[in-house]
Amino acid sequence: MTTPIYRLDNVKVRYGDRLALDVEHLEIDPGSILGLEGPNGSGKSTLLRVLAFLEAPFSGVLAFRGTPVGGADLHELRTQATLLLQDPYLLRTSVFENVACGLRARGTREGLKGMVFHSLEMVGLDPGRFARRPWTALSGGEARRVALASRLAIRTPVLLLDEPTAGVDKESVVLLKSAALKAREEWGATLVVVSHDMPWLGQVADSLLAFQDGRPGESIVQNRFPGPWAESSEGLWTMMLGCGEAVVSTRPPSSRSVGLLDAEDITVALEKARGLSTRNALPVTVQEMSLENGSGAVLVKAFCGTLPLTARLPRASAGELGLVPGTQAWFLFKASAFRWE
Amino acid sequence: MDFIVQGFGQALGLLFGGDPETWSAVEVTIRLTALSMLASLLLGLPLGILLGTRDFPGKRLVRVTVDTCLALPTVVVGLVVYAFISRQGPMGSLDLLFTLRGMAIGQSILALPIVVALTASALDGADPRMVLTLQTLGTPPGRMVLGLLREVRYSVLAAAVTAYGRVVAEVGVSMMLGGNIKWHTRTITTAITLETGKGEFSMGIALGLVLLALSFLLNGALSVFRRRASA
Repeated sequence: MTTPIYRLDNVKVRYGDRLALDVEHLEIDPGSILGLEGPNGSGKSTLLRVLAFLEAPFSGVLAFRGTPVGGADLHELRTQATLLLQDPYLLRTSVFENVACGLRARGTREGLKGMVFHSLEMVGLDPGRFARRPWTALSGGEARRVALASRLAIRTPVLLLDEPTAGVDKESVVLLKSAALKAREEWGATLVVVSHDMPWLGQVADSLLAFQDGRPGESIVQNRFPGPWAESSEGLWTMMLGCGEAVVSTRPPSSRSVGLLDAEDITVALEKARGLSTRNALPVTVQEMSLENGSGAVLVKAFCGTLPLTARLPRASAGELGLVPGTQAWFLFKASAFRWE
Repeated sequence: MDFIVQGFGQALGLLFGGDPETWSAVEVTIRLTALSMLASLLLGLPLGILLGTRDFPGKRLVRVTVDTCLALPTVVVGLVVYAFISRQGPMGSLDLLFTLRGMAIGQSILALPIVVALTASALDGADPRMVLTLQTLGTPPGRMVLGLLREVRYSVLAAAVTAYGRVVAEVGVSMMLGGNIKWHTRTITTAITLETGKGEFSMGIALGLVLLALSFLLNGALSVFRRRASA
């Protein structure tokens, strides 16, 4: 059995009175890619800072390669894991010097230029065009790629990426994914990636964790139905959607409650069959499909009018239905499938 | 009006004719300010780094004190240093009064708060992601300060230029501690004061022109640094 690269037991981080992170138990295997999702302030970035040894846990045990971190040489540990910040900062110098900074800090002299150029190529930046550029002459996406290149250059065993795709163009999103995968291929890096971009994260990560209020849980893609809900017949309540359809649910806690519907609880059909036990059948147009790397499930993102909805189904089912972007389909779900926020 | 025009003409003659007395004042000024700047930077940079990057009890008080010292009156500094280095003073035996080194002590006291306050502000107000970035790239703690200084280098240069502007243009300290001795401690500013008092406008104007040229150069450099620092 391999020793996990990270093991967290009862790790808690507090900011004042607020418990920002509360991880009962988490193990991360070497060479794996773990995706973290969840709303803002749910503890994802805090976990990355703990894993980067920038933030000491308030309590609990963090072990790196089987050795508890408490009291260890933080600088030595920081050379093992690097973090790409959500809003990366570039040093006030050229692209080359930015990428070379970590290498110089490690005393690398020989082959420095080659390493810098290779890292720039990994993120799809032509060294001939970009190496000499000052940090001011880069677009947002290019700056983020330079910041990633400077982390790739030092080939740390652990690469932590905080929202790497936020606010970057489509081309950069693809390049960032391939760079992340290359890091694992080339030197067996372990990656922990935070992203709101679920389809992208699903493609990159082997497994996903969803954070809520500082705690990790199973990753579930949820659809939100914000209400208002009005009572109709037979003790059922309805919410009118922008597309003219109505959604039926069992009694919500209040008429203003937000209904949460797991993507798993949606069945996809090409025709609206008669005599269905499910109360809800929404006509949708498939917009986007993506494969979840870890589970092998397919996420189907579709629109009912302007309302985006996501269903999660086994790959085989998606194949049988012959779903492609543009397919007109039905999303079916029970009135009792909602949970409430 | 004529005497001004005439003085201006004679001033150019003094400057370009290489008048030894005029150029001696320029040379003394450059030597003196180089000495004062060296001392104030050697002391002020570490203090500014300390104040800008570390937390310690009483930091706020130190900060307020340093900020207050930004506007120290030159004659007060002159007076205090005079008391220390004159014959009866505690440092009297060092024979610093009416020497460049004595004057440099006074000027360094003027420049020090500027270097400390502006260096501290540059580091204190720097982007918090800067430290995180250097840490995540594995910068050893010992090289952290160097890394940070590199990042705020234009602001630190601006601090040095501002401090230089203060010492090169002051009269009080140079007059009181240097005694305005020809060939030895007579600087541009003390020479202008003396020559104007004697009605010798031409040398005053000549030295004034040198001072203006210096000032122009400094401000030009300062605006370049400011632009780069904020870029």
